[in-house]
Amino acid sequence: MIQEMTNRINPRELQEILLLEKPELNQEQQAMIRFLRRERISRPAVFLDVTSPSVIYGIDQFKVAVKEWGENNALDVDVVETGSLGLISAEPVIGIQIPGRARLYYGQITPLKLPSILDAVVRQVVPEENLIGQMLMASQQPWEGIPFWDQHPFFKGQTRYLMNLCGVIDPCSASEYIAWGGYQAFAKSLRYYTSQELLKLIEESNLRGRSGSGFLAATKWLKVANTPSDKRYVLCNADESDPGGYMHRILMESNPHLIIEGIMLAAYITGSGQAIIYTRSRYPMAVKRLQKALQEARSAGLLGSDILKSGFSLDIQLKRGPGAYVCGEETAILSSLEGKRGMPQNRPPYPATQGLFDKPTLVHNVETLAQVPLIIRNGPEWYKKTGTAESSGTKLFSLSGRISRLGVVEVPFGTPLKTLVNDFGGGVRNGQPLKALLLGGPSGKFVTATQIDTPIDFEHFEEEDLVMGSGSLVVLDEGCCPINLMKNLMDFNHQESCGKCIPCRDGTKRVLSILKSVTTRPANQEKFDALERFRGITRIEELAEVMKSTSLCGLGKTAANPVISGMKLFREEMEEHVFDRICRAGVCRNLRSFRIDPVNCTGCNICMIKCPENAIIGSPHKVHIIMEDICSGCGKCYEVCKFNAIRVL
Amino acid sequence: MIIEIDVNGRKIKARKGERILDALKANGIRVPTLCNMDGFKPTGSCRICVVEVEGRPDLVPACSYPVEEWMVLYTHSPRVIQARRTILELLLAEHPEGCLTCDRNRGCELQELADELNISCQNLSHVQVSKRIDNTSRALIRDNAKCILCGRCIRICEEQQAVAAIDFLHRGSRIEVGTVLDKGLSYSSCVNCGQCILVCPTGALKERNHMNDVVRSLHDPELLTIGLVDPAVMASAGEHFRSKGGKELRTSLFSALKRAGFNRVYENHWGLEKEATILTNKFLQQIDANSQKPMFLSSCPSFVQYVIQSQSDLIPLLAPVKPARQLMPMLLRKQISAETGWPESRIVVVYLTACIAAKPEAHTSIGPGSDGYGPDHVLSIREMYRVIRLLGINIDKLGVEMLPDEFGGNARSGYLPALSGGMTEAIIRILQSDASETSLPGGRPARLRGTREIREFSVQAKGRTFQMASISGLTNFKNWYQDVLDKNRHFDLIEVMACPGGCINGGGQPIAGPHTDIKSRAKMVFELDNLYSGISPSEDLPLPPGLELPLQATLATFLPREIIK
Repeated sequence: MIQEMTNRINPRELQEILLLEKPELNQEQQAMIRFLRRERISRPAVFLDVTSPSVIYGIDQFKVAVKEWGENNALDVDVVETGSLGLISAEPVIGIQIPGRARLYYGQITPLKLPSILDAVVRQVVPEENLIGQMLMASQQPWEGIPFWDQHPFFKGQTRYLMNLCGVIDPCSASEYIAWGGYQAFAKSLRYYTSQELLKLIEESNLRGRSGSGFLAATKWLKVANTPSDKRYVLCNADESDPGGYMHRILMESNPHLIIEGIMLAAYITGSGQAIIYTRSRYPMAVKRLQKALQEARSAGLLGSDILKSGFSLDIQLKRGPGAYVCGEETAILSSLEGKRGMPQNRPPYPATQGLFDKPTLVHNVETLAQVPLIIRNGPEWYKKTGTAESSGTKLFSLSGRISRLGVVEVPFGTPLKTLVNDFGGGVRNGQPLKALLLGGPSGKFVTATQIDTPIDFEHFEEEDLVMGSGSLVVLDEGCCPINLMKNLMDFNHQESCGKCIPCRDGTKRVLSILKSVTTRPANQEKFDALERFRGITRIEELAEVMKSTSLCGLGKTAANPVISGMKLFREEMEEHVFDRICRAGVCRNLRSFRIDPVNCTGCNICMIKCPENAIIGSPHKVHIIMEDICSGCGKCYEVCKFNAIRVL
Repeated sequence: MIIEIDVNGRKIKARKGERILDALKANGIRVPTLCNMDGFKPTGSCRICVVEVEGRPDLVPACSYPVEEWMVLYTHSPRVIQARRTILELLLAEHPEGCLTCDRNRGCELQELADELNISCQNLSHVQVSKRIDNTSRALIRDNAKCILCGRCIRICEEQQAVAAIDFLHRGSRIEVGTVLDKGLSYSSCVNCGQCILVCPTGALKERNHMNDVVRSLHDPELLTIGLVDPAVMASAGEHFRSKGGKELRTSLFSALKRAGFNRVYENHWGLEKEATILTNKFLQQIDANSQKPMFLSSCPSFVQYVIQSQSDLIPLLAPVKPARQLMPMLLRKQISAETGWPESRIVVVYLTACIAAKPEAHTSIGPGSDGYGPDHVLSIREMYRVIRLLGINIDKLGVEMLPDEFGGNARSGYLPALSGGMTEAIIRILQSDASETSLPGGRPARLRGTREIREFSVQAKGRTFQMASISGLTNFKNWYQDVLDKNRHFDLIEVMACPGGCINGGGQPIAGPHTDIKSRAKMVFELDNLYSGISPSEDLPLPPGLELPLQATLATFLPREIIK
């Protein structure tokens, strides 16, 4: 059993490899690495993508299916749990490898289909249904006529630096990560470089924070390293909670060691003896994987005191936050870690000088820290080759919404938004025209189809007044109502506001109530609802502006972003909602009005009986009538009518 | 480092790193604030104090942003004023509209701010918010509907008083201030000090109202209403009236109270003097018994409550002496009943004080379960002012018509306990009153007086040196006492007052915002004390006839009421 054998290689034995001065391995070590990389296997192996999305598809059943198949065919099969390749819409993704041949990835298969595929592959035949592609490693024979996995439109053109091991290795195993070249940057740094030299590398690499604002990381690092203090902290913000954003979760579940190595390097460079990963209780699998990975790193001697006999000590703790959206804000994390209410604090003082327990604290998100090993391993010159002049490196995006292929993609800066949607995402679902993109989740802005050529980098985004956010991209087609989406996003911000400052607490509530009045029809017209609606609309932009300029933290400052950009881009639709009281997309159900087609109506009474508002009058076998001022637009009559007599207006 | 920054086109001098708000204040530029409390770490939650900094896209809060050289500020630009007005409108849109019937009408910071920002009509439609009123406590009432969530009460409770009875609950627009598990103040660690009332900008926090009961009893010919005035009242009641307080007020206040219908009005002097005497005796007994432990004075009800809730190991160290505010009503009832023949049950004693924590002690003297002590009603200074105003008495026009009634005789240190350290000084006076002792130069211990909240001093009397300390503010006490324990320092007598400065800054004092000037109040107390400090020592006070027995009988069991329970 490969799994057992992997465990039998104590990660501590791999320290030798890490401590090598030059990457010249002896025979035994090379064999070990080949074994750990699973280039050479002795038995068929099935690689199951066990991540949160695939668990939804019941990945556990596949384990049972593989076991049964092995018993039926009297074959020993290894089952390996891996992370995700990033192609979420193809889940469950399963890799199949037989000795000597390249690994084959299949997507969207069922436990029932699996045995037949396994039967075929063992007989050296490759069924092409549901095939994603083959993944060729050293000393393996490729399958003829079978496309490689990176030819798949979702992967073709991606620059997978952070994601390159996702879906390939067992995420928790430190030995596998080391076999693929991991932790070598850390070991090398500890042994041969001082923190000042490394800090210089970070400075030269032009690394920018991936959490949205794109500040140069080195400024922060310098501040932390140069603030005199007896203690410093590194805080990894893994509290990803944007609706529509899941790239950090996939990375944490698929390659936690990369993040841990980034944290280790950051701690070494800034001289911190303690690091904390702050994640959410609602990411149980990420928590489990990170915990296990930390344990493995500890047993490999990469965490603890006097790491690799360098005199440097570090401990990484994993803390689980309560799952509030505002706890992704850096000062709120600090409050939460200090045992207080997770409420943001005033800045300045910035965490870099006065952070956790008033000590200098380096706060970065998962993606930023995961870049650090790459920079140290390959040098800043290599790193700067990817991306644009101002923004170097790659960026993760999670595609969701009305798009053909969902998933996490990694692209170099400078890639146009169009490529993300049309090439990786395969265009809008069902070939519909694209209406807009929402970038940056509930604090993001809309991007119209005309702006879709904008390259993804901080300069162009600033120019075009767009928000990158942490990288969530939601695709909207003509069937989506932006006004309704604005309302939902504002509802999210309203629910997740911490309630500390007035502009955010009461502003979100007020804007939400205005948007609600726009997207719903009042129960009766007797009150001054129309006047209120008009009055609200005249104030909405001003409220948004005040929220943006006066709120305490990033959540409040950006909460009005969708409204500000939406009001600009979708003015026409807004006016339709306000004045004509119609919703083009038919999403705002309460705005729909219904009328009975007298030709088709048979007078069956069903709609009259089902109408919750008693808005339909009529007698049996006579044409019925809907009284529009009573109708609330719920659509019940439309659903129950069997004669296609109800028309939506 | 002094730097120059540009504000509204004018150069002003400021210290680098100080808060913008302080720099502006020093230069006479007023920026409105709601959540700011000087001396506390800014939270920046109200955002009313935002100012425009050139080159920054957003507005920055003046209360927390430090001054830097490059700054060009605009404090009242159209954009800033618009932002402030919008923020205030958002607040007002959910604030109850019953200003006319609010306790804080005409004394409300929100009202003032609305006036200052010239908000004449509501642009945002008003939303009625219904929230539960927390009236579980017998001292304080919290009305969350009126709360604007500035968080001042939370900070004062946690940072100044180390009580942390209240905090924010829930989040988003459901956020409200509440106690643990939202059960109400009486289930919390609240010590009833009432400091939160003093800092609340609106009427969300107020004392439990005894005013109507008092007015009813004043009007009831069947009841004999007695007023018992605490010395702390003299220090600050003048802030409500036009007169300056102190000496002038003393004469006219008693006239006013008598005109209002109090049949008799007493000062609490004799009681406090007696309390000091009993405390001195207990203290000497303890010293004679060679106890190495300090004695804590039990005069402050909030401190006693705090000890019971948070520092229960100190309970045995509390002086087993009934405080004057509980002793005096009982004695008054007995004496007046003996003098006039009124049944004790129809004598109503109203205690006029600056203490909110005395409120729960009311209503316990009559009826089943009562122990006969304590006043019937407790009026804060604010309520006293309202009663006087309600009954149409213009105190400024009143001269010396009527003096307070006499009870027990003159007291020497009757005014001092209004201050932190006052009761200690009264005890020292008694200790040093022995003619054979040489008293300290100037007749008072030099370090005893002052406005510092932590004072330690050694006193020579009766041929020994006593280590004493007087602390005010519970956080001060908590930190100080921890330090004493850590360093194993010895004290003989420790006086703790929950309110910083003592009763002159009590929860029932007139509300002067978060920056009360307690120095002038202290000065007033010292002025009054000078009038009396020359008279004969209290041991010579004759006891009123017929009162020796109950007094002697109760002395033995003089424990604070809370401990008996």
